[in-house]
Amino acid sequence: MNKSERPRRNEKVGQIIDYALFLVAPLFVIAVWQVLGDGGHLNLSILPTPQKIMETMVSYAKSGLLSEHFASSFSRVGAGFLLGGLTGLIFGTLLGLSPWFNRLSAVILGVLRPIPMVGLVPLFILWFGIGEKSKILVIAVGALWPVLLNTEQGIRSTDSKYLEVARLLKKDRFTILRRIIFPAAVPELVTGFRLGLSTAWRGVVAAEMIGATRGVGYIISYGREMSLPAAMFLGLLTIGVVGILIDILLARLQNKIIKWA
Amino acid sequence: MEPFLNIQHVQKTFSLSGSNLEVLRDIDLDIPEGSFYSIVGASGCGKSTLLRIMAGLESATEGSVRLRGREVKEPTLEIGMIFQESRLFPWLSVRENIRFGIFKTSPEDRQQIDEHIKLVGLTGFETALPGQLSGGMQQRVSIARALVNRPDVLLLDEPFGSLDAFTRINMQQEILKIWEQEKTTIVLVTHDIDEAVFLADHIVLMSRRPGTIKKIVKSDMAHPRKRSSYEYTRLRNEIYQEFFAEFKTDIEYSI
Ligand SMILES: Nc1ncnc2c1ncn2[C@@H]1O[C@H](COP(=O)(O)OP(=O)(O)OP(=O)(O)O)[C@@H](O)[C@H]1O
Ligand SMILES: [Mg+2]
Repeated sequence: MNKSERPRRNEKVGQIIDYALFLVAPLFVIAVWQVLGDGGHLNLSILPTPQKIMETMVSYAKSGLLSEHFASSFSRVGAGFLLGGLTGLIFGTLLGLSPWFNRLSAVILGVLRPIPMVGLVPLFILWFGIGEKSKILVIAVGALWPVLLNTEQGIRSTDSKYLEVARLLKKDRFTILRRIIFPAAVPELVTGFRLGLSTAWRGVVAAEMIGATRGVGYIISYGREMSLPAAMFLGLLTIGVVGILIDILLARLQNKIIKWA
Repeated sequence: MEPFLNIQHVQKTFSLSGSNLEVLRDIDLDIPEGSFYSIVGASGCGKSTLLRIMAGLESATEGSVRLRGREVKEPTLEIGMIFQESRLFPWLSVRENIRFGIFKTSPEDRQQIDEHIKLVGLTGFETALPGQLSGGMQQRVSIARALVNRPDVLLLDEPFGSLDAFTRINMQQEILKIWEQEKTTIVLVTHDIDEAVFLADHIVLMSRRPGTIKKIVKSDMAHPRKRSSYEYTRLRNEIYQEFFAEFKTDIEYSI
């Protein structure tokens, strides 16, 4: 009995240590940063202390500004992700299914793909103005590529053995797509959407450089214009923290969805 | 009377990077309805290729396969096929995998599916995913999936090849039961001479490169067959000798 209990207890302790380890380095950095700031070793007008950033966050949170900015960024990311993800899904599927379509679009896609999201901002402003449309489109482009590439890969890599079974059972193309090709591609689809959502979220800064008056990205540009470095840090940290939370959440979801793997 | 399943002068040549590889030559077979044929031969002699041509998955370079006089050019629901790997869809439950076998699904499927789950002895596992089943159970599901359309012919390509000896013998009895119950015509490809002798009423011996039919051994032993009976061992020896002669291997055969 003792024998079976001991390793289990050790396991639990080990788990706590594992989690604690994740926090050691960030806490250390914050502590050193605060000490250096308090000791007057930092130029506080460009690098505020963690305490100052914390205070800014609290005041933003109290005035309701933080949730307001956050909500408008989140709805932009949501809309952009939906638009880009859906487009990526459709084109990725076509690319995966049809070698003909694949050849036809290879050069165009190859040239478009290396263009970064920020690079599109001036063009979208020229075409669509500085309204919501441009912002959502920039985010959509960010979400598009990971979804498109992973979908194509997933659709194309369907095991031909499954397709043979469908041929033997005289299944039509639509059934094959719905019952075999898509389910078989689910792991890649989930990966694509997961990466797409992270990219979309990251793109919010670029998008909100387009004359925004609200949004987490706006907090950053506002901080720069008003010489409020703490606000800039607040914006950056919010993006980072929300980004990692989204990723953790989706990784969990991924394991739930693909229960056969 | 019109022949049931008829293979006429089938020849198959694959072209591999410019060079031609003749895999099957002059295959003629006449398989009567309700019979149990087994095809044995060395690895690479073209057994799978022949079976795939019979299923309509592959086309013959020359010659033809006919079922009740109609040429088989592509898969048909009258001919079912089972592979060495169960090829179940890992995202579908046992019941859904079997349902996939049904051509036109309807609300009355439930009973038909239940019957076949029972036929292969998997009652109670309806909602399990293939990943939760043993190799033998997976193969049972794939048999049920192939049978649920009630095909006239069932082609099996080394269906028990990846199973352990105990499960394999178990599955052999199972397939025999199904054959007797469903009256499906069966063509079974196997490496295992013992399996062929235990199951088949006709054993087709193939030579290799290019694969031709060397001999067809008839067996009218009644089922259930005793592996220790005189008739059984005589037949098995006969087949072993057929292959020993070809390979010129000098292995003493003893019972
Ligand atoms: N699609 C193909 N293209 C080219 N060559 C092929 C193809 N399929 C099979 N072959 C060749 O045909 C020959 C016979 O293959 P086949 O799979 O029919 O043999 P087999 O008797 O089933 O062997 P095994 O017992 O190992 O399964 C092999 O030499 C193989 O390389
Ligand atoms: Mg084979």
